Amino acid sequence: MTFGFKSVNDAGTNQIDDTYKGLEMRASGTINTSSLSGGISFLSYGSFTLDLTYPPVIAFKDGTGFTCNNGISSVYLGGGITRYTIGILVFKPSSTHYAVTYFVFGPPRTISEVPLPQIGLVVYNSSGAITYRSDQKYFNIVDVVSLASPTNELETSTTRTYTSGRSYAVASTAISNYAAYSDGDLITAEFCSGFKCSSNVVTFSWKRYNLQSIAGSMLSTTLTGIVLDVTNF
Amino acid sequence: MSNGVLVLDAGGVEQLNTSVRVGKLLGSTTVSSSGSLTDAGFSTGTPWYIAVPTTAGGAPSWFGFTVSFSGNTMTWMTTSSCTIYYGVF
Repeated sequence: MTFGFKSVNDAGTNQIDDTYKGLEMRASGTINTSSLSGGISFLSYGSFTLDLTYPPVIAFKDGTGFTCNNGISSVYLGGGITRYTIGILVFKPSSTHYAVTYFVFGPPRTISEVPLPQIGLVVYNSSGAITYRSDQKYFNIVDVVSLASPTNELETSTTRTYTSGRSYAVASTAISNYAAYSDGDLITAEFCSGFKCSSNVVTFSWKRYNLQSIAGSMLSTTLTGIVLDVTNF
Repeated sequence: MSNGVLVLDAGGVEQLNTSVRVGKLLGSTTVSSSGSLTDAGFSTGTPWYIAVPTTAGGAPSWFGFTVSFSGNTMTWMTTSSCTIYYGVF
């Protein structure tokens, strides 16, 4: 970097400079889950839709159950807009209903899409593109955590404790793992992986419900989540 | 805060201080099969990625996706079309 503005955090890592852009937070909300039919009493399911011009990155925050990013489907609506349906599962519930907060991140927008603020900080690169603007909230990464699936036990978990007084959410690097098989009218879950954000403590967990058989193919045996600082989001 | 940058929004709410690690976006790519890419930016921090499935239609479903990093190269295996966002922090 030969000119411009740069800030470095207390870990010695660049926060802002003229080189990189970041994912912007585009929306947030709450999804209420409800119990599943078919006998899976320990899972709660919810879904929501987003009409977007870009594939969304979704982070979740729930302090009571383990949230599992259950999948995304899409339907093109025309005019550059795609409708994304995001499904989530919460497992280990103490009740059948959960309120899970979600945060939607996407590529940074241009000035024509979002006019500049009247106050604050804006950083440009040498091409005139914006690399940071203080009126936006960004994908502030605290940690990347991976947890392998349990092999010969029913459950495995790992817990991380971060700075107190801050708020955290987790984005799965891919769809969290979940599988179920149908035995007549009874649907039984085989395994589930997810995360829980309670205050400044984030727990990742795998739960297997049947050690005798695994239905389908478990292509990903590692749950990986990106822990985000969403304080004041 | 004794040094560094503090950024507040219009409401006076803190958005950035010296402890925040802003995830930098190196790029994105849409893929339908296994592959790899090289980006010199991976050497500037700790790599991260997010895969978002883009196969149209149907109910939300799980898909298999794994990634590994070696030097400046990211290699992935996938069972579905997806967009990969990648960067460093």
